[in-house]
Amino acid sequence: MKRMLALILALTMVMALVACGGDKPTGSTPDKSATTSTPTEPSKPADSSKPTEPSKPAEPEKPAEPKVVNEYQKNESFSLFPQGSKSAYDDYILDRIIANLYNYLPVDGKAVMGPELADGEPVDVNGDGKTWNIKIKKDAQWQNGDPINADTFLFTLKTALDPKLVLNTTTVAKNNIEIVNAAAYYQQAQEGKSPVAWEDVGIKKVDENTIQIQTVAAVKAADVMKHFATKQTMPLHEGLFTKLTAADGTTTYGSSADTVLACGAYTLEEWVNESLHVYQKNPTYVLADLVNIDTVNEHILKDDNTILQMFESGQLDRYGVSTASKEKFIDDPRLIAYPSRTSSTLEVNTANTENPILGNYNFRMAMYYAIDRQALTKVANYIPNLSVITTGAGGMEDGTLYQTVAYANNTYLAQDTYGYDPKLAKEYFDKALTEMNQTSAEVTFLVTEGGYSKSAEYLQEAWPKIFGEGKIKVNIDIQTTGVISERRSSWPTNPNGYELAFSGFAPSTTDHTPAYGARYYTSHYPQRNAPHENAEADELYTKAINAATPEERYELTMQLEKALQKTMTAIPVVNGSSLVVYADHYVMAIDPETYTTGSGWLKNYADIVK
Amino acid sequence: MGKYILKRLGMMLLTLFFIMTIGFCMMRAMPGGPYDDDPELTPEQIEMLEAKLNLDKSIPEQYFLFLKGIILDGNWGVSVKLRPGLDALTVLKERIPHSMLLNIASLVISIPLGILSGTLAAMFKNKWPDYIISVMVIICISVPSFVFATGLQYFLSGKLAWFPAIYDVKGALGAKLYSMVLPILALAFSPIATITRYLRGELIETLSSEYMLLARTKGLKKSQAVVRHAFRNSMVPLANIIIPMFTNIMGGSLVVETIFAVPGIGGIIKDSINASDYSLALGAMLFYSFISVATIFVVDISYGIIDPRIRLGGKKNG
Amino acid sequence: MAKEKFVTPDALPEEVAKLTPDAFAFTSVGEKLMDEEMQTVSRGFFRDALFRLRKNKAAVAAFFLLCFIVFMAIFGPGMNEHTFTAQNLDHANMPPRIPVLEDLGIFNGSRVLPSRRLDRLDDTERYPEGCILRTFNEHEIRKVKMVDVEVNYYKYVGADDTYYWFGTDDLGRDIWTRLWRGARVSLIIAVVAVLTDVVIGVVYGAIAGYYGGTLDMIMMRFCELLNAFPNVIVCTMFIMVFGSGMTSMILALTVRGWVGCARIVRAQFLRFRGREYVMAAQTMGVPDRALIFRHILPNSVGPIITRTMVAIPGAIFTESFLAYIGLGLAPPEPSIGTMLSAGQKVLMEFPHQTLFPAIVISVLMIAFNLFGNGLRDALDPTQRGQE
Repeated sequence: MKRMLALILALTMVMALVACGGDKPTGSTPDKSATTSTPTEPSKPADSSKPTEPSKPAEPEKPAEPKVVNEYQKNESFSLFPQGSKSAYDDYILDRIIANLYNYLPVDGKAVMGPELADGEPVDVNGDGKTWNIKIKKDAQWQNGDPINADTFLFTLKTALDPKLVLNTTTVAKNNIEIVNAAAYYQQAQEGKSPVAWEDVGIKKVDENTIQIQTVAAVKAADVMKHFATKQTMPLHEGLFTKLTAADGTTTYGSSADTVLACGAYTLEEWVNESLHVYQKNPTYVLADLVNIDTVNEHILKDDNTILQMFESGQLDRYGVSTASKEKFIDDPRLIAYPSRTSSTLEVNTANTENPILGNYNFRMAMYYAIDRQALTKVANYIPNLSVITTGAGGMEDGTLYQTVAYANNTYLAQDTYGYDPKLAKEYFDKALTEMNQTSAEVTFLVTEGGYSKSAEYLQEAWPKIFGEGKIKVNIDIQTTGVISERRSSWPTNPNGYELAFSGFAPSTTDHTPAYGARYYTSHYPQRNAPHENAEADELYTKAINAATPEERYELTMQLEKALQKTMTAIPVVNGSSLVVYADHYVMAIDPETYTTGSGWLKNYADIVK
Repeated sequence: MGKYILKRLGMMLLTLFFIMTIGFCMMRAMPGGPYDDDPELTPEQIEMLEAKLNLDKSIPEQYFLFLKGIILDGNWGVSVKLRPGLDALTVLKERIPHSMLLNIASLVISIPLGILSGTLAAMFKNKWPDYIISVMVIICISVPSFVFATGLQYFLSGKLAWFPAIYDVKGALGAKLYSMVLPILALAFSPIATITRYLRGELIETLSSEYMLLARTKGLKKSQAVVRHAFRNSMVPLANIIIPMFTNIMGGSLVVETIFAVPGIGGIIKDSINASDYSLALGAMLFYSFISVATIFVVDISYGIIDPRIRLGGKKNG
Repeated sequence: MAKEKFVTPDALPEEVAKLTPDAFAFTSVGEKLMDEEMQTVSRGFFRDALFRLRKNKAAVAAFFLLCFIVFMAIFGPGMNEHTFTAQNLDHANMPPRIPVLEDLGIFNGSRVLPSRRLDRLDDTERYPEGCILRTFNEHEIRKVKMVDVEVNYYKYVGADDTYYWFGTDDLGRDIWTRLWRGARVSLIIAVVAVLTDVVIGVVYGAIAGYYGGTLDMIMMRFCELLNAFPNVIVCTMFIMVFGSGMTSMILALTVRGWVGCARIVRAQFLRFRGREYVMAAQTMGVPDRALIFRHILPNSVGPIITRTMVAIPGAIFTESFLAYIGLGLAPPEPSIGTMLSAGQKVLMEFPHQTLFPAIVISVLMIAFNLFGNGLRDALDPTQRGQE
């Protein structure tokens, strides 16, 4: 009978629990007033979001309240080890907590490149543009008070270029500027490369607070600044890094809030993986005066419904408008639209031996003309794009975007109709069929669910109408990202792993020369997902990134794009478009009109005005 | 009994070992490698990195090295993609408590509630309580959890502001439990309904058997007869339902965790397989497997307690 | 236990006791003796079950509901002029509009467009003549006057002569057509997968439960092993290797699905194996196979059917879960699962995209449940002969 008793007990407990659950809603009302009256409580920000409607009118009466922003991200960061970081998801935390030598800073509502940890612009020592001294601010320090000086950066750059660690840091050796011997030092472990001593690399210590950079070619101060504004040059804390790194280079640096030290606008107080980041204003930050917001709570939210709901009830201060909710905000004066960094192309696996028509130039041209890019903007938030280079790419001093110039120079095929010409497409298609001795063609898209699957579905329906019913069959293979990258990257050994796939390429920088955005389609990219054989483009790419003036770089990039059109192995489709709405009290650091993909929104310097 | 438990325990460990072995081989044989999606790396660099993880060796050799690592240094392996550098077990340790809290809470709520409503429905078969319960069961079973979860969030949090929209990960226990009400509800609906349905069916069958008649003839009240006799008999098949249910909730919680932003283990299993993060995927898989095997173990042991007629270990004449 | 009263000769009534043998005569001398023909028709097991099933009103209703859904799954997609693949991006996300019902004010193709600029409402480019039904909830955002507008969405996009009975999805495809097409696909997947489960599960569970001992131990450990692999992993791996098609979906559902059935059958066998009637049959030399399938298995029919009836919609659920995590069927083929998961993503904006698939899956669930209960009662051997 004891068991019976236990059962009854359990039942009553559950009843009690249920009863409590039922009570909670009413019981929570006094809770709300209690939390709002004690604004200094540390747990306040999370709580304050709860009782939105009732407490809103009361808020403006408390001027001394700390400024709190509730943010979200849709994906979690993997690692806060800047040199090891491979994902764009890491950037949003790194941007908040790690300062760089140079960075975009807000000046009169515009983003301007300027010194952050550095003390003034780099100095051209010999006047030949090849030797640059960078002075570091005397008060530059980590959040724990440890100084940041020349040694910090020497250690950082040496670690970044360490041949044993195999980090994602080729851009440190050569990006906006090319540092003497740096690439050779980085690659020395590879076969057929001769050893290079660290002493021969063009990175030197001048004094306690100054480092010297030697470049291969003559460069301008602006290029040096941009070079030291990327995530790969962010400072590392030597003591902590050495402590957390094993002999084989496996490191846990930046894997949690405790294994990273901040020197930027905010400190990372809490990091609950896949859930929450809490930032506090960093008082030791060199530009602490520019930082207005005291606390940032950043949730990881993956479900669009959740995000929209929390934004509408005031629990979030930003909402990235989804395709479905666009209609809701279309008239909203708060809506800001800007091109994202990602330009996507339809990559054709020309090596496929089972479907040789993919190797036919006319067939690829037919596909180019058969994509109604304007219609695709109705499928998702896209901007039509005929360039392989992202819409926001620039590099001119006056801010003229590359695509403005490229369109003015009539770089693209059928650019008036965004490359859509069904008649021409059909002509090319028929020509391809005749050449290949085929009566019909069949192609398969390899896509992820949610990614470009909708675009593929659109083309699946549209192409038979253009090329003729029964002439083409379009299949869609939905796979996980892991399988897709394996099947695509293994084309040299397994050429029949895929046929067509969408590629979204977002280069970390296109600010120096837009040609970086085309790197993926040249032989300068180590592990491409399709053959993209094009010697002319390879050569033009080298020329473009080594050219001295922005005008020349633009010109060469346009030539490069024309060269890519001659093979058309990557068909430009669209550029991502971001739509965002900020809460009324949120004041951005820069004027949306002046936004560029390079600078971003400078969210660290935003403000809240009640 | 003691000997039997020991034997079953040994069996359980053996099962887990088999699962680990099969899982290990399956994952390595799957298409994809951890560095496939990193086009910045040259083939030589990829070889270097894969050699670090022994991926250049054959699968049996890798497995041997993996076992050696566990036995000699207690080293499960590090995560390479999702949390680079971190020990896979550390990552799991961070995530498991959130998931367990959520799942156990929803089971703790759904088992008694399911039993209660199932018993009521059976006792009042084809009368109004039965109809009401049946309608509720059908509603609970017939709407997928992600629709349910979004609906709950929309009405109870968005419209009525009774509960927080998302899981409060760093709050005190009270606040945390409060923020867990919606995810628990979303998770518990389906198990409650399943138990109710099943128990109702079983009880109705049992109620029509002779020993129930005997019990009633003996002078027991209907409720007494149900609780003392019928109930115990119906628990046996119920155990069969509860075993997969627990593992199913764990699996289904992926959806609920996504919607309510719970940093649980649901997402890790999908992401780590996707990213070919082997140590993490294997660890997460083994955790699920452990839960499943352990539940079966517990249920098997309790068989004898619940139903005296079923003797353990399949003795021929029970 | 005879209930008749036995009476002793002493107690016979007097007139009976007085009877002499002469009083008796043979009635059928010379006739061939035979039983009178049976007056009642003998009913076999299944006829009996059918008879009892017919008596169960709920089950009959459920049966017709199922027939209706199957009918719709076969003929529904052809009932209007739309096809399940035809897209029209200008007609994306249209609300439902059903003739006749629209005159009653429901499903009339209206939708609320929230937060529209008040000063732009008379722009006939954007809001064609007569499309605005009402405006309400005037409010200000950044000092701009906004208002919620309820429009006739069909007039709003200039498609006044078109009817999408259940609305359209994000590529402007007719949901009615896709839904019934999807129901067809989902039903095929679920029924095939579950039937396979049952066949494997019954044989496996029966063998394990009947023979018991070491064999049972080994077989059950194998089930345990299989069951211990998380469903997500098994399904993901199947689809990763075999691609996203109907066959791999069925395989992925079956690979672990039969274990549940096997467990139920085994439990029933454990329960009935030791019963007296089984032992009696065994003593009479009935072979194992007959014992298993004729004598014990019918006891499991109830639980198996109940399970099957839950498992079919359950398989549709699993399929929708897989679609939710990005492992759905290859487009353009719809299924209830892919439609539900696509609908969930836009539940806040376009609830009709979830509503109709959810209704169909609910109706399926209800019908399968009620019908399953009816079948279970009807097939239960202990209730044979009762009415």
